[in-house]
Amino acid sequence: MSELWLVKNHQILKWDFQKPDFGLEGAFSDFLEKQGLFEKKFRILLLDSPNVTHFALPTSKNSYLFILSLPFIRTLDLSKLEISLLLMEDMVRADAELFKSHVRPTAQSLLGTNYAGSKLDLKKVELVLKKYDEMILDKGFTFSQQFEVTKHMDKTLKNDQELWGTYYRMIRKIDALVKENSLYRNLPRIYPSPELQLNWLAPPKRKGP
Amino acid sequence: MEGFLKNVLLLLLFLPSLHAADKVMMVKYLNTAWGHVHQNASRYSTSLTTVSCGHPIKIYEVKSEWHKVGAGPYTGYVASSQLSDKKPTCVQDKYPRFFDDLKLEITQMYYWGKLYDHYIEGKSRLK
Repeated sequence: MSELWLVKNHQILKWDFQKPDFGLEGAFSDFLEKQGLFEKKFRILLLDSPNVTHFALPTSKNSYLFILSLPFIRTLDLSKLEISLLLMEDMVRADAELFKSHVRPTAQSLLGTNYAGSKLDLKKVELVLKKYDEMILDKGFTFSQQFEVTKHMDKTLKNDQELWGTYYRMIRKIDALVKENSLYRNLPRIYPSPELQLNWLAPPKRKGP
Repeated sequence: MEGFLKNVLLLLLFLPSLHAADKVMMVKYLNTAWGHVHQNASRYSTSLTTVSCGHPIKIYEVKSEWHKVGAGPYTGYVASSQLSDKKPTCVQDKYPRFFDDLKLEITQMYYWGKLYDHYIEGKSRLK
């Protein structure tokens, strides 16, 4: 279903374009291995559009399908390490099945059913694809979901202060971007909100009496 | 001059046979839902034709990332990662009614094949 959504939205996502080899495959594989995340298959699809900055689409078990905006990473001048951290955040969301739980109620009427003797109800397929649109382009994740994801990243990365610092600085970059660049002002609607994430990661010190 | 012209004519006559049917080394099968036979060994090269999963493809030449192939009347290149020695279990075969009733347009099949040209694929390994 994810690939059907990618095909149907090729004009909005603009993934059919020529681009150089950024070495993302090797960089992300190395990163996952250093984090102890082994035997994880992944596919990354680069987009030539700011409409979707980054997302992990549902796919088969132990496998990940990421979409990643090239204009977004270029504007932020993200390093391969920062890109890997961004994708790791998306992995955490995928493992928590946050997207699947949003789509599942609609998809249940379609998947795992037997429509022998009748035709496939295309309206059900359209409804599932609309749920994809809703989540990826419009509503995104909730504050509590973002909190859980950020806290998980915090706990995981704190073992390596340098890595934690890189993640924190990347969120700070994204926070500045959404405030200064109108092209990305809707990003906090999908991933609320970079400013709150910074507070969750490093709560401001309370002033003494 | 006459001799030169004669040689040129002879060359032109035999030139097609220099491109005589490539020798088929083996037959492989496309293992992605849809895929493209490219004009050159590049994912961005013009697509000669779109083929669906399980389609038998004649292999003329094997290189690390690309195979020179024949599919129907077309001779071109397919990414090695998209070819399997054995006929794979295709998603279209697993759910034939679903795909038939989906009524995909040719453009959609074309773009579905293009997806696999654009994926950056990898895997973290246990060392």
